[in-house]
Amino acid sequence: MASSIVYSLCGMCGARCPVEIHCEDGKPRWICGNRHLGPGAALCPRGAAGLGLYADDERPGTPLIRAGERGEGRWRAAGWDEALDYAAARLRAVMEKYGARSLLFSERPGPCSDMSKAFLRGLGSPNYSTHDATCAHNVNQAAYTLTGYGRGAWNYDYRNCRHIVVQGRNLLEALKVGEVNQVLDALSAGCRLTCLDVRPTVTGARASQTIRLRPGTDLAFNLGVLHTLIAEKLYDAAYAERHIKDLDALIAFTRPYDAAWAARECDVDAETIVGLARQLAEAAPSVIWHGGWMSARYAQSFMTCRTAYLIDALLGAFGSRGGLLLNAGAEDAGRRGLRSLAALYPAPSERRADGVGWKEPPFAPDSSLLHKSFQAAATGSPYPLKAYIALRHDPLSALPDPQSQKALLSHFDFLLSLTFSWSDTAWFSDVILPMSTFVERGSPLQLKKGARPTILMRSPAAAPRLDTRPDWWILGQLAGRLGLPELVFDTQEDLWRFQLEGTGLSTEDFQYGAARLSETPILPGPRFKTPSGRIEVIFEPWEKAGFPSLVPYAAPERPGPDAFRLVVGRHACHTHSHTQNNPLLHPRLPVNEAWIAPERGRALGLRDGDAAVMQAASGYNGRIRVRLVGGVHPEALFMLHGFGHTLPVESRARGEGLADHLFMSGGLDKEDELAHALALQTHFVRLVPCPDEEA
Amino acid sequence: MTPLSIVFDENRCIGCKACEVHCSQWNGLPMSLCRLLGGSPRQEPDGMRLAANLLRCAHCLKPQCLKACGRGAMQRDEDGVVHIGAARCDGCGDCLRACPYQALRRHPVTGKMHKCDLCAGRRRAGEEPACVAGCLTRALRLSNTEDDYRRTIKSIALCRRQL
Repeated sequence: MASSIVYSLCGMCGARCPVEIHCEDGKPRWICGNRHLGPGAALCPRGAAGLGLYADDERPGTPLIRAGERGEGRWRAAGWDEALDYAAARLRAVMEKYGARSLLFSERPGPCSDMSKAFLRGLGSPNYSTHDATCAHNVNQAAYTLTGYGRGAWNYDYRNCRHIVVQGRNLLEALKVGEVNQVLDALSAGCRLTCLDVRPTVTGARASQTIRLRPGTDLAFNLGVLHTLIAEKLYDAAYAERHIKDLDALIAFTRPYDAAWAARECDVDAETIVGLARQLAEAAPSVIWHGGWMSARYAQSFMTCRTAYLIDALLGAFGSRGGLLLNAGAEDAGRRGLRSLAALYPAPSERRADGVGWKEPPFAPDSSLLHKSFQAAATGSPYPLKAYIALRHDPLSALPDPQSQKALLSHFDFLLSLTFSWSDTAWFSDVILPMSTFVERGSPLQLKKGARPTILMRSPAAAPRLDTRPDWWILGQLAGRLGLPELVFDTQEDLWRFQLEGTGLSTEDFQYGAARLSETPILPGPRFKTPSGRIEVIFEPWEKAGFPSLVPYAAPERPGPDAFRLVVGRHACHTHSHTQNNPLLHPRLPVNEAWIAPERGRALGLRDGDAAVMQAASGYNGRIRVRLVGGVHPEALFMLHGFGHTLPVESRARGEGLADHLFMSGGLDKEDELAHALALQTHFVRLVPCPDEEA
Repeated sequence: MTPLSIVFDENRCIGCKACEVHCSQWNGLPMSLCRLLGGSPRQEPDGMRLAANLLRCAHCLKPQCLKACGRGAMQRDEDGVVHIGAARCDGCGDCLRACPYQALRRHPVTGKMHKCDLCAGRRRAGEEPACVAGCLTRALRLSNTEDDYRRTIKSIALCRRQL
C-alpha cells in the first residue's frame, strides 16, 4: 500500500489550521494537525470531520441552474461550460444595463480573497464585501481607531501572558487549535484567566475566575475598570505619556463611571471590578484584555471593544511581551510579499453602495457592511445593485431575519452562489457553482503575518469526488468570459508561480506546506499607524469627519418580566450553519437547546429537559428543549447558532433544533450605534411550556 | 503483560469531542468507540465546572468481555488488547452485558459489536491511537505503566455516574 502525506490547510472554519492529510493509495485516510507547524497532530472535531465532508454526497456535486421559482429547490444539472457561460451572460447583461457598480460580492475571506477582489476590481465594481457585519467589524474598527491597525495586526502573546481577560470571547469553544493550546499551556504555567460572560462556557470552566454580567452591560464593566485604573493610579503613567494621545480626554470621559456605578449596572459586586483592575495592574504589562472576535452583539459593542483595548493601552500591553504584539509582515522581514492579483487593476473610483468610505466613519481598509448593500438594492440608492455573488457565505443563515433579506434579494436580477456545502443562500440562488472541499482543492498562497511571517500553501490531497472545482478556478473562468483573461489560470501551479514572482521563492521552497520569511522572530514593539503615531483616544480621522471617538454609556433595554434576551454562541463541533449536516459532526451535536436560569424555568413551571415553545416578538415560534443551567443570567436565553435547517437535501440536519436568526425580526435595522455592525443580541423571546409533548 | 491505558487529563479536556470524531473517522464507524461524557459547563457552588470524562475501554487485565463471548469472536493480541472479529460476531451483546464499564458499542446498522483495539493498525505502524494523536488539547496519552493503568480504571469507573 502506497502511503503519502499532503501538507495543507484545513477549510472547516476561518481559522485555517495547518493540517496533514494522510493518504493510502491516493485516497485520504486520516487527517490531523501539521506536526511540523502546530501543536503536534492536534486537530479540532470540525477539522477531523473534514474527511466526512469529503466523503459526503449531501453537498452540491454539479453545477446547478434554477428551474423553478427562487428557493423552490427545482434545479437543472449543467456541465461546467454551460453553467459558466450562462452565469457570465447573466452578469454581463446586468453590467451592460446598470453598469459594473451594480455587482455585489460577499465572502468569508480566505486565501482566495485576493482573487475575489481582483475579480470585482477588474470588472469595475467597488462592492466587495465580507461577512464582517455579523462578525468582527466592531472590534476591527475599535483596533483601527486606536492603533491605526485593524484587529488582525495584533497578535495575543498568550504564552508569556500573566493575566488574560476574555469578554464574550469564548476561545475554548469558538476555537483555533493553536490558540487553545497556547492558552491552556499558559494556564498550566500560572497565568490567570478571567472570563466575563452572561452564561457558563467551557472557557469559564477553565478560568481562574468567572464574572457573570447582565447581558448588554459589558461597556459599563469596562468603564468601571478604566475608572479604577485611573482613580487608583494603577496605570502605567510612563507608557501612557509616551504612547497615548489625549489621555486627559479619557480621564474626563470615564469620570462619571466609577466601580460602584458599574457594579449596579452589570449586576456584579463593586469589589469584583476593583479587584480585577488591581490584579491586572499587578500583572501589567503582560496582560491581555481580549478585544473580541465575533463582536456584532449590542448597540455599543464597538465601544465595548474600544474600551477593552484602552484597558490594554493603560496597562502598557500593546507591544509588550505577554501582551499584544504587532504582527510582522514580509517587509519587516526585508522580503517582498506575494504578488497581488487585485493590484493588476486600479481601485474603482465609484462610491460603495453600503456607504463605507463616504457616508460611514473612516473605517479600516477593506471594511464593508453587507446588510447596507442589501438595503441599497431595495432603495436603489445610491444606485441599483442587480447581481449578487456569494462565495462560501450564507447570509440567509448568518444575518438576521431571512424573510426580510429575501424581500431585499428580490431586487437582484441574478444571484450566484459558490459553495462547498448546502446553504439557504445557495438554495435561493439562480445558479450554484459547486466548490471542491478543502481536501480536494488547492488555494492561492496566503501570507500569515506574525513574529515569523510565513507563506502557507493549501494543496489538494485527492481529485474531486464530485463534479466540483476550486473557487479560484471558477472565478478565473468567469473572469475570462467577462474580458479579464489575466485571471484565468489553467493549473494551481501557474497561479502559485504568479504569486511568487519577485519573492525569491519557488514552489519547491515550501516544506511541510509552508515557507518562512524569517528564521528569527521579529518583534516590532509598540508601533502605531495613527496620524500621531500614538494610541489615539480621540481618533483624528473620525474627529475630522465629524464622528465621535467616545460616546456615553446607554443602559440596554431590559427584557421585561416574562421575556428573555436572546443570546447566541458557538460550540467546538460546529462552524456557523455549514457543519450541522456533516456525517461525523451531526451525531456529536445534532440539536440545539434553550439554556435559561433555573429560577426563571421554575417560575414558568419548566423542568430541566422539558419542551417549550419559543416565541419571537414577530409571532414566529418553534419548539425547543429547555435546559435549566446554573450560571445563566436570569435575563438571558442562550442557544447555539446554526441549527433549524429546512432543506430537503440535508437529511441529517433537517428539522433539528431552531434557527436563532429567525427570531430576529427587524434585525437588519438593529446596529451598533457608531460602527454599524449588526447588533444580533438585541432581540427578545418568550417561552411557553408545552406539557406532555416532545421537543 | 504490561497493561496499556489511555490516560485522560480532566484539567486539559475542553469537551470538544475531537476524540470521538477522530475515532469514528479512522475506524469508519457511524459511532465512536470512546465517548466523551459531560462536557457541558455549569455553575456549581464552588465555581464554574466542566464535568467531562472519557468512557473508553479499560483494556482489563482479566477482560470480562472476552470471557463472555460464546461465539469465539474475540481474541487477545500480544499487547493484551482484545479484538472483535466481525465475521464471527452475531451481535448477541453478551460482551456488553459483561463489561463492567459499558465500554463496547453496537453498530446501529449491522447490529454487530465493536470495541476499541487502540487502533491496532496504527499501533503496528508506530502511530498513536486516533483519539490520542488527534486530541485537540493533548488531554489524552497512551501509557504502559501500572500507575496510569490503575488511575485509568478509576477514572473509567466514574463514568457510570454520567452515563
